[in-house]
Amino acid sequence: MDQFINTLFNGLSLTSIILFTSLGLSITFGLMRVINMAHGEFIMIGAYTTYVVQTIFTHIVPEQFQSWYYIVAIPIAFIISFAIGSILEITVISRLYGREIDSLLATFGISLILQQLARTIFGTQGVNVTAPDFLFGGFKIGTITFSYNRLFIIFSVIMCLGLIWYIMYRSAFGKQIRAVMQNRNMAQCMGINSRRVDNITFSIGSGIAGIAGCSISLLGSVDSTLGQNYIVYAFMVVVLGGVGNLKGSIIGAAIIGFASIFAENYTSATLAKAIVLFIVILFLQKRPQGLFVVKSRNLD
Amino acid sequence: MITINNLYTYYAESMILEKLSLNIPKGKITALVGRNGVGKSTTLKSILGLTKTPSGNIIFNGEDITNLPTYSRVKKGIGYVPQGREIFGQMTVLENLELGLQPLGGRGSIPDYLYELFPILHDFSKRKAGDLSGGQQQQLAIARALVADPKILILDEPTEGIQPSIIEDIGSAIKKVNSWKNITVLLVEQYLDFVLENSDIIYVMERGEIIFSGSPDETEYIQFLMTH
Repeated sequence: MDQFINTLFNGLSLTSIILFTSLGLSITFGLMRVINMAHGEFIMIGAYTTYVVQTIFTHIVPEQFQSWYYIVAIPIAFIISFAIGSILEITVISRLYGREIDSLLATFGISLILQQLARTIFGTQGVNVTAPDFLFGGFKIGTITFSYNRLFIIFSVIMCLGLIWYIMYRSAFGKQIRAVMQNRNMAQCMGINSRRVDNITFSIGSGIAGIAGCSISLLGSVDSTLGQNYIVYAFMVVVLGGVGNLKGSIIGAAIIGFASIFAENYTSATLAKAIVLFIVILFLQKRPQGLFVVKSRNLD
Repeated sequence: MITINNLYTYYAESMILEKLSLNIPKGKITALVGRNGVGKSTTLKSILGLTKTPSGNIIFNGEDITNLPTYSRVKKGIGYVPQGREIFGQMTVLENLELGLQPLGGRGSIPDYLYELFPILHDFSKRKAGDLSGGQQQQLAIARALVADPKILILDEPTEGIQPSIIEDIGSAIKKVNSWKNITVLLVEQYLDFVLENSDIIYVMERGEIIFSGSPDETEYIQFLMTH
């Protein structure tokens, strides 16, 4: 029984990580239809930002407050990824709307540039982010330990989901986003500056990837290839869930997360990956449009 | 209200509007009629800034709007009901109407008279707009364009695919809006009876140019132009 609960918790934990890494993409790819190969690098930017904030804290902040670096790093990771996303949208992406293959190639190039930039600044060796004191350890129920680290990631992803839901469905700006995504020309005819909405939407997607990077930096060493490890999962989640659909992303992440952990339990890590891919391929054969279908915007 | 001077519009290699000049007087209901493909909808799209206009200019309320982006033109007081309605199908009726407040910065409230004109929008306010019937969607599209109290209401084929009783409602709503709120109306329409009944001035278009302007009294000549 303990073993089963432990597997469930690991599944939930992996689901939350995968969901976190795909949330931003569900906006930039799911809603905006930009095949954003640089998405992983925004996760990397968030992770490196956390490292930089930690380093600054160790130099200038008294010892007893050093754990607070992490709380400070979250908004900074968001702001920096948001700003870089905004610049990228203005300079490159905005010229490629509606040209999916071109945007794939361009963002792939950007991904390589950002990775090299990270190597140039931080070196080829990975750097380590130390989890703040309040995330050390975990609590035990029977023989199972629920690590604070992982619980924190689950908590963060729920917060992010809430934030996205609020922005999209409760805020005035969310209404503008939904209008532009559904019908760009008509949204302009309602007096909405769709260029501005495009830019901010893409930047929000990038910023959320930055927050994901901040969380993922707790799980292992941070290097220039960090984003690459998650990009495939992220695309799988968005496609599996049905592009442009938050609910679909959650369920897609859960399918992949739990399937991975259960398959890993009974086979090996490599075979588990193959099994998950096989499940996804089978599923998409039967339902190419994904779990949930929402008519998305046709970018002109 | 709107003056178009020597306007040209191209789609790829083919010229749609050629040296089009047009005057839409304030406070009147003006209709633009003509056969398919003569450039009626393109004229409306040019006013909205949805098509490129390489030469000529468009004056709205004394101001040259030719080089303004669509959203800025709309904010100056243009309400647009496109062909095919183009309501936001995934949103509720109320959300669609609230989007109509965008030209006012999203502030304000939906005028009560719109619910008087189209009571169905009140009854179905929480319903997904995409689930409404064609006629109801058209009513929503017209109400949405009127929410921000525009100076001019532009309608592209408002009777297309709509049942006769609702066409009557739409006609009377257009007249009421014009008389109650003094909103100028510009209408593109194929259905000649609707035009003759509801407009003050009629322009007939042919190959991107205006070939006739007059009043609905000249019914027979207008019918002749439309069929020959």
